[in-house]
Amino acid sequence: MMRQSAGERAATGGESAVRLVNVSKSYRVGTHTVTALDDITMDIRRGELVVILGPSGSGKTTLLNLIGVLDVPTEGSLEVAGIDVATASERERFRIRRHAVSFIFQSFNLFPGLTAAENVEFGADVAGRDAPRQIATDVLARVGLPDRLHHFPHQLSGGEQQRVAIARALATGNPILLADEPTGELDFTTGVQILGLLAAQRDEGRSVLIVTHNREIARIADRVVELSSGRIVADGPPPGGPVAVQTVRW
Amino acid sequence: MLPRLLIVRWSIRDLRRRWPQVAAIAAIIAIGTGVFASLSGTAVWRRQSNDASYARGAFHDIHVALSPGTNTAQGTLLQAIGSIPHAAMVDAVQERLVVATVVDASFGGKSILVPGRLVGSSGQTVDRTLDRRGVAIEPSSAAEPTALIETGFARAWSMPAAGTVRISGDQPVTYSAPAFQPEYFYPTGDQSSAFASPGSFAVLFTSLADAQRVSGQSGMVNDLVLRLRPGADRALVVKEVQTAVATSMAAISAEVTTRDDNPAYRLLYKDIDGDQRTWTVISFLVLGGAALAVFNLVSRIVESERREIGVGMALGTPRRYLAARPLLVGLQVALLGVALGVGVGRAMDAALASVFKSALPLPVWRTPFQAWSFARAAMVGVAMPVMATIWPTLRAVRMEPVTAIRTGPRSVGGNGRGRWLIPGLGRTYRTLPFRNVVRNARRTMLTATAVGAAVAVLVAVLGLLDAFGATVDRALSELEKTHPDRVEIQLESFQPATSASISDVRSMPTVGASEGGLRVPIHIGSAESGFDAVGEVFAMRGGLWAPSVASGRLPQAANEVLLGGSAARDLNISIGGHVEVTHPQRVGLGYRLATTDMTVVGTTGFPLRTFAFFDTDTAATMNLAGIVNVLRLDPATGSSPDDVIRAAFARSDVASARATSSWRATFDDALDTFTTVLRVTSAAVLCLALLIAFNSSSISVDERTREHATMFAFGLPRRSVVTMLMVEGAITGLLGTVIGIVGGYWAMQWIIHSSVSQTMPDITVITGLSVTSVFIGIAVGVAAVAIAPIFTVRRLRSMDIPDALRTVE
Repeated sequence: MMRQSAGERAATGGESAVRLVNVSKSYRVGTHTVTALDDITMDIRRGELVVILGPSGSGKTTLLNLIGVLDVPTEGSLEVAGIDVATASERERFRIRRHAVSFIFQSFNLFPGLTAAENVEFGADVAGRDAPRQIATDVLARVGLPDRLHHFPHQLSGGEQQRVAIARALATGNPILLADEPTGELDFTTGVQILGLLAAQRDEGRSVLIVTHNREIARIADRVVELSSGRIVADGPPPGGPVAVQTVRW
Repeated sequence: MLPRLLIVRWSIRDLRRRWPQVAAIAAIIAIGTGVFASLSGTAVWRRQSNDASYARGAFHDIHVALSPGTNTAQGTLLQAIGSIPHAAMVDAVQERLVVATVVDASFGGKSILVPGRLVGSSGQTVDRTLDRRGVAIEPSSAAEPTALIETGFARAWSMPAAGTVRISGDQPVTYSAPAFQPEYFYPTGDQSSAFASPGSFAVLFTSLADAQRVSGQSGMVNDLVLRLRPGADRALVVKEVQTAVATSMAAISAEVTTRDDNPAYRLLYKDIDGDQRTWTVISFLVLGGAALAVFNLVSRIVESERREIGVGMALGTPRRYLAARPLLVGLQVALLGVALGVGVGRAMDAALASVFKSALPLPVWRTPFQAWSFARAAMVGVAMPVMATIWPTLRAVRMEPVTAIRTGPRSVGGNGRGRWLIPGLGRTYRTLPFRNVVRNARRTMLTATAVGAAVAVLVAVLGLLDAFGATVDRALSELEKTHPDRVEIQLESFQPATSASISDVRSMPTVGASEGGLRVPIHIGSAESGFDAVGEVFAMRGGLWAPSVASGRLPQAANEVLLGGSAARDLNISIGGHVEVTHPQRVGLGYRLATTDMTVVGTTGFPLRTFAFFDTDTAATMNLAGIVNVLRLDPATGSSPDDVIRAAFARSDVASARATSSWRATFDDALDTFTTVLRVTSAAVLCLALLIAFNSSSISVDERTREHATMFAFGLPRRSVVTMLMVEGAITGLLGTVIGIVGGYWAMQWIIHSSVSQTMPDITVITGLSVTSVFIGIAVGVAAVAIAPIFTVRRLRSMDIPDALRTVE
């Protein structure tokens, strides 16, 4: 049992919510070894919106999966919420996912058998929060879906489904949000609305990590980490500084 | 377009990717087809084996038996046969002396005292004695009487190959080997009953001279068997023999019968079709269960490839090429299943052959491979999965490509069903098992029906075992309700009840209370619709034992009858109605058959219709008032039934002695074949049910990979996911179990009333399911399906979560 929850540690226990030091990730494919990430060192601070930018095959999704504790590094040190992921047990890794990080997927991955409210409630339930039903109602209202509580995913538009997915992640109350191409399946207008919701989380003190290949989206970030062939080729504010979400165009 | 070889390679890869599920489905097909092929082919085995054994034993065509207690000079019967006009039709003829006796075959501390028979033959041209290889043998000649002992009896008691037994009058007879003889291929005891166990009646085959010597009937015979030439007119010869015997022995009555009247012959052949009907019903149930399961499982596999089919259509591939891949998968699963089915069928064949050889020992057993049975089963085995792929494949290729390609929530609709079922469960994910069950009702019902079919077969089989057990228990509780230690003595002949020998028996030191009565062969009803039975003529009140009354009352006057089992129902007679009873009637020193109209005054709870009960006043109708041929003896204080039997054994006027407690073994042996086959089948069905449970769970895990990966991504522990799968399995299993228990009970009732009632008309089978059987049905249907997800833990543990979360497979 952790003396301080992973979430608390990530939120209040220090500047870094996520810290990578010399992290590499390799896979064996038949007789070949594929290096997806090579010697990555970076921090993600509390209340920071970071965009991981790069073309297909650059390793950005692999990096997201490592930070989301869905995978472990082959080399190096990765701390999420103060816990060394590489040496953590599987139980601890599950615990980190429950209480420290929350995912938003490109294809939403909502549970088709649950309504919008129930999908969001699921997030609160797993994180062990009290009054999950009330939380679901509140969060869905915050993302602009107060009238869609009892709709099933197949009855919602793509944008509405992604809002529900964001609501589900928010309902966990976890301090680190990980979004993998959150606007990938959405039209421009809807995509901007989604980015607005994510940016608002940064304003509330959460760490938000967005993976995208869209350079225009990177302009809203506090920091852009650019990957190429598994290596960081750039890490800093976007050119001209971060812009408001409403100004991006793609 | 797609080259054919690519489609074949692709479908083989599909098989390899899902090899545990494919193997399980193939195993389900194998069990279904193998059990069907094996069970449906047993009739051929039995008929061929019967034919070969009777041919090898040179079974008689016509049998002449003098009335019990009478005999004639050796040669008289031969002369009578020789005098018939069509004597040229007779191929071989043998005189015999058949002596009823009591046999003490005790050995090695085992006490064996049973009624029996000594059969002395003048040759081996008719009704030969055969060894276990089907080769004719004769008792070895010696100064002392030697015999061969009937094989069924020897096996029942595991007797040594050679030894000494003692017969009435405490005479020793050495036997040199066990032997078969056509008249005794099936145990029918001394009452021509279907309920004689092989160990309850001992037959010794000896030479005519030894039989005459031992029985003190030197130069006498009382029996004759003959074989006709091929093409002879048997009915004509029977008439001529009847006339000839009646003419040459006017003072002695004789019964002339054919081989069709031999109880063992009749039962061996009659049982075949009746038993086969029951096996066929069960085999169809097993095949049906397997077919449902295969249909459900294979169609789910094809459904999961719907998106790939959609992608193909989006690329412009013709539908027939896209349909080929899943159809090939179905065909390959079918062929694999049928190939395995041959193995399962051969294994079942071996098991069933062993059961039959053990329960129905014959000198010649033929168990050839039933190619047609297998071919029939194989056709169904191939059709099942192919049909299972056709429907979902057609659905997939007829879908609009955009719908087929769709992933995510829009591809699988949710609905509001089930929410009302689950208030107050707390965590949302705890409601998912219930939602999943209701969300896809068609799939749930298909799976539940498949499980239910397997449970139904299991319950039907167990129910049949329960029914036979309950029937035997009812019969025994009826027999043992008063004076359970009593012994029944069958006398050599009818005797006055007040005779000195009767008094001697009743006053033996080992005997306490006693009573005398008559036991005679009768026929109840008309020649066409009636049946043979045993008439018990005893004092209905104040004696050692009287039957219970289920309806009506006990007989208390002459020509009143209490019917047993389902006799009244079968004859369509109500209480107070009248029935014709054909019975022996003494005429001078002999007997004739007479038919008397009697009143049915009641029915008894005794479940055998082959017993009918009369008060002692009815003895006058048979001209046997004051005469007895059966004594019921209760052991004196300090004596056991065995003591009474041993004391009676020493008397030469005692033909047989039997303790009431020996009936349990008789009933068990009578039902042995049936119950053993049922047990073998239930083992196969249990495997089937477990396979269905495992495979259904395995496919569910595959179908929900992304959902499970999402749950893991949110940190839901694996044990919670496994628990959800187990709860969902339990719900589906419960549905299937309800279907199965209801269906199985109905199937059991139907089998008993339509099939068993014809195979064993003399038994009134008591239907009902025991608590144990219901529990087993629930354990298999619910527990197996609920526990099956545990076997997927390894797969969940090794899941590549990021890979499973990606859109593209």
